[in-house]
Amino acid sequence: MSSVSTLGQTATQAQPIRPAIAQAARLARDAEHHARDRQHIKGKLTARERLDLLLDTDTFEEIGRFSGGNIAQGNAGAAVITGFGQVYGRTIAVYAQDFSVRGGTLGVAEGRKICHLMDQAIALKVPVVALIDSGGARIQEGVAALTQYGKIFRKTCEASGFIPQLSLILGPCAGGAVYCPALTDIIIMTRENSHMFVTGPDVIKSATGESISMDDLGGGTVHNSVSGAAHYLGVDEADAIDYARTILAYLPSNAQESAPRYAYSATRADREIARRLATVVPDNERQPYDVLDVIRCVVDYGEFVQIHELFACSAVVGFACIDGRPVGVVANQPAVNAGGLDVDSSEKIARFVRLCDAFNLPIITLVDTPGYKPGAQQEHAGIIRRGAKVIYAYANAQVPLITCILRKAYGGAYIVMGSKSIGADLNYAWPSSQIAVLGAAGAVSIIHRKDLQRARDAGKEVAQVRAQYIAQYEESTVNANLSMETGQIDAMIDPEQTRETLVAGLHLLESKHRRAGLEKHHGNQPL
Amino acid sequence: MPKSISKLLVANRGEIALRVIRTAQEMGIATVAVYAEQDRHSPYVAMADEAYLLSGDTYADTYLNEDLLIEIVRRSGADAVHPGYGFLSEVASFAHKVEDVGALWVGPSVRALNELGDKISARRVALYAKVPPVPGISHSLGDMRVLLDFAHTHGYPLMLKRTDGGGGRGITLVRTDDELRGFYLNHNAVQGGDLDEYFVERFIDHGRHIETQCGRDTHGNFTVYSTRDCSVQRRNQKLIEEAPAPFVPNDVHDQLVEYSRRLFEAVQYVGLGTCEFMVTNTGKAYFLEVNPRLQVEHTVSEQVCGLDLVREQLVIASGKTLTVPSAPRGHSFELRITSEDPQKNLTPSAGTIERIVWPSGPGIRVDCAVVQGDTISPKFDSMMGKLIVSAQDRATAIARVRRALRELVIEGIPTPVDVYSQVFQDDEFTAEHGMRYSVDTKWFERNYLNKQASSAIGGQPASVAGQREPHETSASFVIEINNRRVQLTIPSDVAARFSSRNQSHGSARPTQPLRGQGMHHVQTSKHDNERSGVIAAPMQALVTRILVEEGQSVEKGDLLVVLESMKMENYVYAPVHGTVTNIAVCPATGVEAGETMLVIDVEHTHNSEGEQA
Repeated sequence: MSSVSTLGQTATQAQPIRPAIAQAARLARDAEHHARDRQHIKGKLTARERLDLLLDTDTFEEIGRFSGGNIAQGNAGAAVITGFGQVYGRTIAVYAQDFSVRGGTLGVAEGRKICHLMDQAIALKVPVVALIDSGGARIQEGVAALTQYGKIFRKTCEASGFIPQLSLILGPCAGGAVYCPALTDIIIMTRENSHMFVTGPDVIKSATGESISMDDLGGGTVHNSVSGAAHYLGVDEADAIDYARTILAYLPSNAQESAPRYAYSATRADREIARRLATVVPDNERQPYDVLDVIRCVVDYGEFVQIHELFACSAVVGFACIDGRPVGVVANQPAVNAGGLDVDSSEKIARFVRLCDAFNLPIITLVDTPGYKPGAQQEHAGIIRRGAKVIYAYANAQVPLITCILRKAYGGAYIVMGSKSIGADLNYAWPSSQIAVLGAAGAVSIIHRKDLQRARDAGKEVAQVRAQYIAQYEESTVNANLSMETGQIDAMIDPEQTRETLVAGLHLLESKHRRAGLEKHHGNQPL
Repeated sequence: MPKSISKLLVANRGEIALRVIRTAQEMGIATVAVYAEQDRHSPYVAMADEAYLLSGDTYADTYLNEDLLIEIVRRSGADAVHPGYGFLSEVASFAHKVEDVGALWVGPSVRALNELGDKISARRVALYAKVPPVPGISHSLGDMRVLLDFAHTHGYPLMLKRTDGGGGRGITLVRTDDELRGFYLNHNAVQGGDLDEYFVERFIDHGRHIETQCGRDTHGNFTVYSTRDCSVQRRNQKLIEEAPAPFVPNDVHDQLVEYSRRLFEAVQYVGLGTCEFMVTNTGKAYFLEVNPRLQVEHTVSEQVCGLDLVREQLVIASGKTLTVPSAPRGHSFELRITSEDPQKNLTPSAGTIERIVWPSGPGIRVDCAVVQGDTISPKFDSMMGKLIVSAQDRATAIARVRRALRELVIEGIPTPVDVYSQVFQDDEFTAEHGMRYSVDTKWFERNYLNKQASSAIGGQPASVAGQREPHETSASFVIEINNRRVQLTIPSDVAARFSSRNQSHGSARPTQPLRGQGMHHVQTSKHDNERSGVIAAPMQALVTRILVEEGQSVEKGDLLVVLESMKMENYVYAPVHGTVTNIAVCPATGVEAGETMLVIDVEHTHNSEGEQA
């Protein structure tokens, strides 16, 4: 209101601005003009424009604006901007590399700023978001610059699992610098102008003769769909940044808090949507369906924010809310390779479960898997070593774990996907569930090997006999009764009940506490 | 020869589909809508006489799926197709397919689409019709020297445009040799470059974007319904349009009309279309392009020429004579209401419409297709609707726009409405207070978008850096003092103290931010199968076996077709009891996901009640 400001003005005469201060302000203004000229021509935003997009309007508080600069000599500061701001009303720490200042390279001044920011973020227990656009280590500063990376690595590891850490790759990120984002929780890239690689096309060309473009080597598409290094492919910078904001909305500020709870009031449409679940999963076990349809019918507003959407698509993972509570959802995807587990989808699930466990997000697991993907290629790619990560993640998770079996749950893959024996709190199954060591056809071949041979010797129609045994096996074994009797399944639920069951389960498990484990330094997880 | 239209398929969605259906209804033409899953409950679907689902998640599977749309033309018995704008409206191959199935294409001929479709051949047409295009190189680029020579002959700045661009995409502006070299390096073939898909044009500084809304019928009659000015743009996308184009000298106006006639006659154009020109402040007009379709901003022309342009399209398409409009009457503005944040240089943003109240009263027209509760995702379309305001002259219309903007309420999502209010107070735009109208195509960006990032003021005293304005932290209440209505505004912390007792019951929880990826109306293909008996392929696959014949009766659960995909057999079973009436595939052929494989006549097990709902 105007009366307040007039009071302030009449109190004293405004202080004069010293020329040196005006000079600093001019430098800052020129720097931003320069940045716009340099970045816009390449179709990129300036570091400060990116901050505007990331943070709630006018909430940025900069730390060390001119740090590392020399105002008298016209140097406005380091090639990285650090500070705090708010995302959906909650504080985060952010650093943004500024490519228009010496190519965004990292030298001693930049390293100090970043480490200082991370120290503060740890002290304040707030997430760190990195906006990366950098030519790498500043060669002119030699090894002194390199050591800064080591310090950032160590800080990132220290903060890992304590505060959420997100990285957006909005320009080049090459050489050792790639491990700054690699150590964080989420990496977001864009379709264009976003590159990550340890050795660039030039080095590869001279070392091996292989010639490959930047995009094909380490562009956003490659890292999202092939290497799995990145978790989201933004259409453009604005989309990538909006995704980062969304992810933060599902996470608590640190490991000691719980995620924000959102308002949700059930509507009549919810019941209608839940009813659709009755027809989503086909009875026929060989007919695929899209598990995303199931997830969208279960979560609030049908809103499911996928992580690793383009990678290892036989499993889907992501965030959603159920009755306003953020949860992590893990599901097999029957529409891709029948939902079988392979090396990539195992690692995708394992990493996501670890993320949820670190930040107190309950995990909902929806199971429909025929087992591990067979083949020499998988065995040799390390399905033993890499598949073990899923077990390690689930077995060590101490957040509420609720599992629902939608259809197939066969063999080892059933046990690792959040089964009760591995530590889940509540296990449910739909009536159509088939829970068994292996499918009927395979089981009959083993159990009735001799009987089949006998039938063949007796000159009977083997196929007919086999079919009989299969029917018998399905009748007696391939259903959820055995699991119910052994307490592995708590209840059978109708598909339409799924949402309300999950809501009740989450409410029940709200007070679940972490238990102190054995006295040890840390587990030795398969890596 | 005149050919009457009895059933019109609208191959589009949202606001424009609604627009076309409205006119068709008025003309007594039956309408067929098509919709993707997420549009199932859109108003335009409900309003059409018939509607067909386009299954699939992406536009390529749905609104851009030419074969599926042609199939629906056949199934529905439509005898004409209106493509709206965007999507397939300028795709010659689709127009061709429509004509092949014997339906009428409401749009220019395949030949006209081909010749005007890409910008390079359009420039050729212009030269042939003796209409001067903006100086440029029409043939594709490739050599840096040619570019530099051109730059030095015609001077900077230059615009480098992608031939298949449009709507602001694929345009790069260069001002110096260095920037040109940078562009060349970035797009050169070394990086898998796409330089040969670009052409270059001199960039006209301080030019106005003026276009003519033209029509030409099969009898060779040509008319200009009105001119329009669309100079208020950002990133080459129009925000505010008006008709007629104001402050255009008569001779320039006549020249634009003459140019338009020559362009239309050069390609024997039949239908409605728009000729876009860049008019310099010295009154010189350069040809930009012809848009062979109805445009978003056709509404302002309708307001001032008094005709229904969709009706005109249908009249011309059926071979009748176009209506010659009387001289333009009054003045009309169109404001595009998008989900773009003025705080962030109009970057598209997502959100949910919590509240929406459109203005009404004299001279107001609202074309929109969103309702309260809708989630807007810039991934699809950031335009929520159009506000069209008309009055007897420009000054009155401006006053009316100000009034309408005060009435307009949109909550939950950022919109450019605040910026529009500023524009309609800007004397350079309104030409009030003795100021000259001085808007050009970069005017809006220069004055309203060139905002420095607000985070750029860090580390300096506010008095030096300026900019950051204190937040409005007050709440308003309406009270009565001595029976006189008074609006009371108090600081929000004080307000919170009054109302805190009421808020204690958890209502303080924030709402979940949505990215609009959710689908409220998930429905499985199985469910659809059951209703219609159409068996569609669940995935892209090879048909290995078909186990039924036409005329065969099948029980629910009978195996119909075996598909192979990714070395896995996939079986398609009968979802219902019925008789196979039609088999559309044969063994060893490939099928696309969603393609119809066979049709089962569903017997009386289902009562047909409620199926139309």
